[in-house]
Amino acid sequence: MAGPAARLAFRTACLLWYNLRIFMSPLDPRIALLWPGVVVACVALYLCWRRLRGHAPSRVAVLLVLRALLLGLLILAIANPALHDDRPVSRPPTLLIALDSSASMTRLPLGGPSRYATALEALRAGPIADAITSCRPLRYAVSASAQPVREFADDPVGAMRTDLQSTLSEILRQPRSPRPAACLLVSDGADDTNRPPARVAAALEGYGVPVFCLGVGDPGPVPDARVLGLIAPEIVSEGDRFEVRVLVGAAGLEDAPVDLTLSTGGEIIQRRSLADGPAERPATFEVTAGAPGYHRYTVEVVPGAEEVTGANNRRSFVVRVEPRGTRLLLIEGRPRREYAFLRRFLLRIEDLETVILLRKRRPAEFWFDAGNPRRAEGLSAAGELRRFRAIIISNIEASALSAGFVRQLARYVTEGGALAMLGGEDAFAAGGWEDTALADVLSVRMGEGMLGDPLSVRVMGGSDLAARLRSVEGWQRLPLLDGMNAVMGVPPGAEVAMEAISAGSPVGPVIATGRHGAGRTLAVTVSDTWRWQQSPGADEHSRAAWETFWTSIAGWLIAPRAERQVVIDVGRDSVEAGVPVPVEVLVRDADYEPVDDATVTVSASGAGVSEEIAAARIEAPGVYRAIVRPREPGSMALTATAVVAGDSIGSDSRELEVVEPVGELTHAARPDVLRAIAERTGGAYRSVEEAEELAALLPLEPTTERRVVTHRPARSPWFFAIVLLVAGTDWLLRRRWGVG
Amino acid sequence: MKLCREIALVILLIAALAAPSSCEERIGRLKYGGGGDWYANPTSLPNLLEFAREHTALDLPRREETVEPGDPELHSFAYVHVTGHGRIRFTPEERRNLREYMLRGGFLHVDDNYGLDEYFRREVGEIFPDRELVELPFSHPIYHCLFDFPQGLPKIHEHDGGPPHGYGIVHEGRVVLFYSHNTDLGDGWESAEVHNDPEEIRLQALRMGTNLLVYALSR
Repeated sequence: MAGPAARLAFRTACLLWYNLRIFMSPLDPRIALLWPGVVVACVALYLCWRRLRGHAPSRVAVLLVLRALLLGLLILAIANPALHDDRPVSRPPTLLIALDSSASMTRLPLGGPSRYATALEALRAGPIADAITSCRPLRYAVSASAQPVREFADDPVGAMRTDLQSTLSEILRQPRSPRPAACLLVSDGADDTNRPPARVAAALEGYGVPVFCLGVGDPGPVPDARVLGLIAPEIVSEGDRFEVRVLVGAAGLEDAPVDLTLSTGGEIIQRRSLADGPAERPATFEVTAGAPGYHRYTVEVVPGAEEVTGANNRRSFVVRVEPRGTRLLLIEGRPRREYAFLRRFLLRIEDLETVILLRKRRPAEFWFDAGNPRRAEGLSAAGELRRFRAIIISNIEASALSAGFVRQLARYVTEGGALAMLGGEDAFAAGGWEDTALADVLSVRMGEGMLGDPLSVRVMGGSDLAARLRSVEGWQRLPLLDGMNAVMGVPPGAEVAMEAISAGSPVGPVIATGRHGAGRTLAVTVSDTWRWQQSPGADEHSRAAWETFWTSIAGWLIAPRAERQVVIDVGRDSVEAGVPVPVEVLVRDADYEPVDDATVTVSASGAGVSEEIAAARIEAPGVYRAIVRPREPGSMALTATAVVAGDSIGSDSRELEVVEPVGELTHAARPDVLRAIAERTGGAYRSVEEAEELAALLPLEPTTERRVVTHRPARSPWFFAIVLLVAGTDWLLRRRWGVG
Repeated sequence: MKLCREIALVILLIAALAAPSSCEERIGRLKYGGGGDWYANPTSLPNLLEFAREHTALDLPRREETVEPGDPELHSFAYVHVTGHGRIRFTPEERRNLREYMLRGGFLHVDDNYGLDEYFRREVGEIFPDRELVELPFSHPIYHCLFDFPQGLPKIHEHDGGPPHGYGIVHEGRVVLFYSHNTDLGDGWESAEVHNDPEEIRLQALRMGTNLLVYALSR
């Protein structure tokens, strides 16, 4: 009896060992439990045999076999061996389906179903749809990027930008096993990269996946009028007539006339109607330059109902109008000898147009006094202050000028003007100027009242003005002046070119110059230099000195002015949301020299943007560039400030109109792109009308592959049932045979 | 000590009030030779100055100063008035000084008080041998620079009948000498009780005189 049991146990152990060796990793921790388990099983069988001794040998054998079988099953449950089944399997092919969901697909054409709707219909019904049922489709909505989707949306939000090459590359380069049988691209072929078809096709060839293209859309032009080109002068002189030449594109609108307008300051100043004809139609406007300054004009093609978008119908340009000749404004507080001499001097200067407003009656009755005298309707009669290269405020109290006009004067200087204040008993603090907007602008610190002592003068410092004054010697020998306005020195940055001497001691600046904002100021604190021209002590030397004195001052004042030292140049005033806008900032010093060591900051606000960007200098001298990215349609304000060594040298502001991106709205279908992709990748191109042909060409045969299936018998229900059966049989036999 | 200080202060105050302000323009009456009554119409200039101060922004003294034609101080005056009924005679030095005064920027107003014309014209010929005394057109700024005189000089007094005439010596576009003839502006400037001129006539004379002052101080 022991012989057969031993043999059974031996065989079971061999089988176990075989399984363990083959299917179990030697590193499996259960292997360590196996051997003790086998030993325990053998001991258990031995003890069982000892207990069964004395019974019928056949019954003992049966029970021992059952026990051994049960122990073996338990060991298998612990070992859990794996069985591998290697067999061939047939699978449907993988088809990548890329549907162009860009704006040119979803929004075009204007009438009838969109290109996208046509494409979707072809994918959902008909031969293409039938072909798709026999494959495993992986769907992608493509525009600026490829988005995997379970089903294509009926009404997607058409993205304004498409890059077919990069989005298809994104789809095709993903590793898949097995390799996709083909890629079906359903598109109009239009994208905003406008890459050459051959280049796109060559880039996709390397992925080894044939691309079959189903083309939708009309390759004819999309109806759209736009301003294609615009030529206008940048700088003109006041009153000049200049031409604005415009090239209007009217693609798809050859049978329709196009209306064109030119506007400035929100008002239409001229209209043109371009008769139907070619897609590109030229037009010319003749414009008369207005007042000096910057003038922004806008050319607009009046949007038509039949065109796809009006967002590209407008272009703007800026024309700088220069004053015709140099102009100077003198505002004089009263007729007086100093004024009479100065007036004669200024009116003698060639190429200088001097406008004089002489206050003849208090408090503020002004007369034009440069030609025939005539009464002026207030100071505003002089016109815009920026028309003047320089302004002289001569011996007039602040209260005779309105606070608004004084603020205008301050702003005039800040924006680049040259301003002088001449002395007298109504000038500086004596005229109540110390609490006005000009107090911080002037180049002297005002003191109280007047100094009445006789004065001589001497040239000071090394400024350009002082150098000009030094062309005459012996200033201290000139006839004495009779007092001056009290000043308490000059503010930081200002320079004294001439100072007054009384009893051998300096008593204050006679001429001081300074800068404020983009402009400059000059102060003359005396009021009777006419004594150098006509007084008992006047002689040829003093008259020459007087000429030099005023020639130097006038020359300093009317020297070409640095109109704006900081200028923003965007080149346009209408940009598309989402498109980066390079903002160039031109920085010059007061002498027109480019500044290369400025710290330039561009701040943008509006149109979904609120940021401050440091502009970097580029190769061109004095030119700095920052990139601004408007996010949404609206108005965006740009302000550029330039700082050198901690001092602001100016700023400029502009407003840009941010429009909705035109994107692909105007793109005609490009079957040539699709055809090139298909030919180069081994696919085929057909239009949507030829979808049946394309469906037949798609390589959608099932693929066969060998497949290994792994089974775990010890974890199957059958295994559990066998264990229960063996254990139950053992239990029943023992009860029947009365074996304990 | 305190008393001395107070006296000194009073003296300084009186001196300050009496002395012309440093910013005031100097207005002169020419004290010429030859026997003519250069001092005629004594209230005329003070009245004119008062009127001009009242109606313009000019900074003028209350009274004129007397100045001789050869005096170097002549050049400090913005406006010099000449009047009289008779002879005027300048020395060569005075003529040179007057000429220089006018050409350098001064303004001489000669007002014929009747009887001055012959002598004055002779002297003008001596002072400006190279220039002519020309009658100024009614459109000249001197008639319009503040008050408007479309018909030229107003007629104040009848002398020889006929219209008044305004003549001038013009240098570089500027009238440096203005000669009012056959009108007697100075009589019109005088106080009302002197000649019993109608108020309107006096007003016309004062306005024309103010124009002369404005012109002299702005051209």
